[in-house]
Amino acid sequence: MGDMGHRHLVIAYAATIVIHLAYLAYVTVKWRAAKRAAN
Amino acid sequence: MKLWRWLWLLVTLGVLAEGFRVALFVVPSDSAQGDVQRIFYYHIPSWAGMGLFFAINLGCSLVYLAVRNRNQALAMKADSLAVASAEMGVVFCFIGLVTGSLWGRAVWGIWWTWDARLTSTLVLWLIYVAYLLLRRFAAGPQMRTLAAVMAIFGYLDVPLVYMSTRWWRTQHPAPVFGGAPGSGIDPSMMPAVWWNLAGWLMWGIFVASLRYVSEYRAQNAEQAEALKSLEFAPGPTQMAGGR
Repeated sequence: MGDMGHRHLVIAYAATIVIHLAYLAYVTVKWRAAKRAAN
Repeated sequence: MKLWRWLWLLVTLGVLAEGFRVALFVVPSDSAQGDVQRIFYYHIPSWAGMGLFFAINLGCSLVYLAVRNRNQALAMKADSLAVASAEMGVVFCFIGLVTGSLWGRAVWGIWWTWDARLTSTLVLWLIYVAYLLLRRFAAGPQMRTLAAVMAIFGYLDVPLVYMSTRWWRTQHPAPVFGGAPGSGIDPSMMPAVWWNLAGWLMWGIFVASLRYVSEYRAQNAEQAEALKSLEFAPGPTQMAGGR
């Protein structure tokens, strides 16, 4: 594996973390909105 | 957020950090593929997470259909968990597709091919995206029932995805775990699998639990609002001018 493989490995790990964090951000927005609606 | 959730998050982040360290710096490289094989340690937990959350979605959909006319409170809980688990499953499935595509590009030289495993997985992802779109845009009292029925039919693709590399010859490699005799990975690589499997499943449970609570609260508030408007709606006598 050359540099290209390393680049793909880094992008795969970064993409996994970014996608999970993006979904966490969406869930946080929903959480706050539901909390406001409940009060 | 309750204390146990913060503790769960703290332990999860610890497990994920250890998984990251073990996957990149501790376990040996694959003799054939080199370092790019380490994508496997994030690729496998994504599929395990997808399998777990789509199974929860199926269970909740069945419970919802069974109790929706008898036990409103349980039906609402089941429906809220069905939404949370479907979203989490879609996220894991998407990550599996992305990491698989990156790995394929490095090893096969192509981003994508229409073989049985990849195609059935893409179809599965699209089915659950359609399920979420139905829930988002359909209105009326039958929406939740329709969504539950769709979830049950959608789940039929999961065993197809699992068996695709066993039933057909595919570009995707044969199963690593539970495959033919001699399949599997070197035992020295297993710690990276276990740490990341545990870490990402714990993460999924944490995020899905937050989503479940918010959905349940939103449905409760929606129901309370509907009851309130019924309370203040003019009755038949009032509508007829009080006679």
